Amino acid sequence: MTETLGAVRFLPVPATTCQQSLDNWGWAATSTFAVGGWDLGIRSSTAELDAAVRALLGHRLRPDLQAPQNYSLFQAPRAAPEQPQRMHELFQGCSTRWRCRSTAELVKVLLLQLEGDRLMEQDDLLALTAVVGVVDGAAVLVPTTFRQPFLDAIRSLIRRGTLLWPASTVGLDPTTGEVVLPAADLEVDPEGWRLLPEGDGPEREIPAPGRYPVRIWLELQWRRDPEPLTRARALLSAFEWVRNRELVGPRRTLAGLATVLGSSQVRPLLLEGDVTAAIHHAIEGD
Amino acid sequence: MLDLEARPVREARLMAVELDGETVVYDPADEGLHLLDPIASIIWGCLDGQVSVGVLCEELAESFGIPVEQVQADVVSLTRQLIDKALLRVGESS
Repeated sequence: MTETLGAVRFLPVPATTCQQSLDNWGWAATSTFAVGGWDLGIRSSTAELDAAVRALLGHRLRPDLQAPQNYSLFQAPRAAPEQPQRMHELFQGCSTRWRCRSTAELVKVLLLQLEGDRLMEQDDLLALTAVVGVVDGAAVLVPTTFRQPFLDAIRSLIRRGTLLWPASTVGLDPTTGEVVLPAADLEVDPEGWRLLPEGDGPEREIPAPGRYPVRIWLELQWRRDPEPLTRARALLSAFEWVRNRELVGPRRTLAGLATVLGSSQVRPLLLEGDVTAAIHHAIEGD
Repeated sequence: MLDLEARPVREARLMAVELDGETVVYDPADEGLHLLDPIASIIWGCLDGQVSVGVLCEELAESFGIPVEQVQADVVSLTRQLIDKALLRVGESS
């Protein structure tokens, strides 16, 4: 894996109304870190959270740079001691990537998210933007940036045995067809964890990093498609979600996706009506 | 104009994978993707610059048990579409 620590490489954040709306939330600070060849801006809603992230990733800090707000960590205030902790949120751009009641979990998920960004620099794996769940030792994979329905369904997914991977970019091994959930291998200063609040909420279980066969490949559909969903059609739409396809090359990207799809069950996931029920049905089958 | 003696050939720059009889073709010229259904996949796969459209029609008619005239209409139409999309180019007639 190569990293360019000398040059400046920003990942632009589109100036959408959604982004402007998020900008209006209360933010304390944005710090810039060199990760995976990119200079990424991480915005925090409290000075304490920013200090903790700066401590954890201190050796990657670019104090002289002001990157766009690629990631935002929102630490929800506690309304009253007897009330449950409200949800903290991790945003990528203005899209919610994770919600949880534990600040430590939020930061751990940020590190996994950054690990996903580092996949873009590898050419031995396809860096796929996807929602991934793990059930019975195999993966359910949905190529998309749209995580909201899965976050909304997360409690019932866990109850029924599906653990959601929190990061939005995963690896696909083009040779074996496995999905690779990368461990957070970024070197961190453990002192940074001590700066995070303790006991604000329980940490949620997530899948263990590692390799999983892809059992089910779901294709999001916003309306009923009169054409039957086939593996080739799924490949067609998945191609654009491979973030490092220029590095990997189109031939290996096509072949890798074909390898994964060739051994997966491909099913549509229609986002209308009771979406949570549709997710369960798509995962569990008839 | 496409006649039955024409010998179209797949563009060498194209990359393709086949899944369950369908073919996804990537064209690096415009970074576009094309989906070929099973019939189009067979025709695109057979047209290698060696076989003429007429001979291919005869072989398909025999394989599928369809009158050759019907096959010719469909194959010529599909071949024209593939040429229009720059997935085939016409080679020399014999």
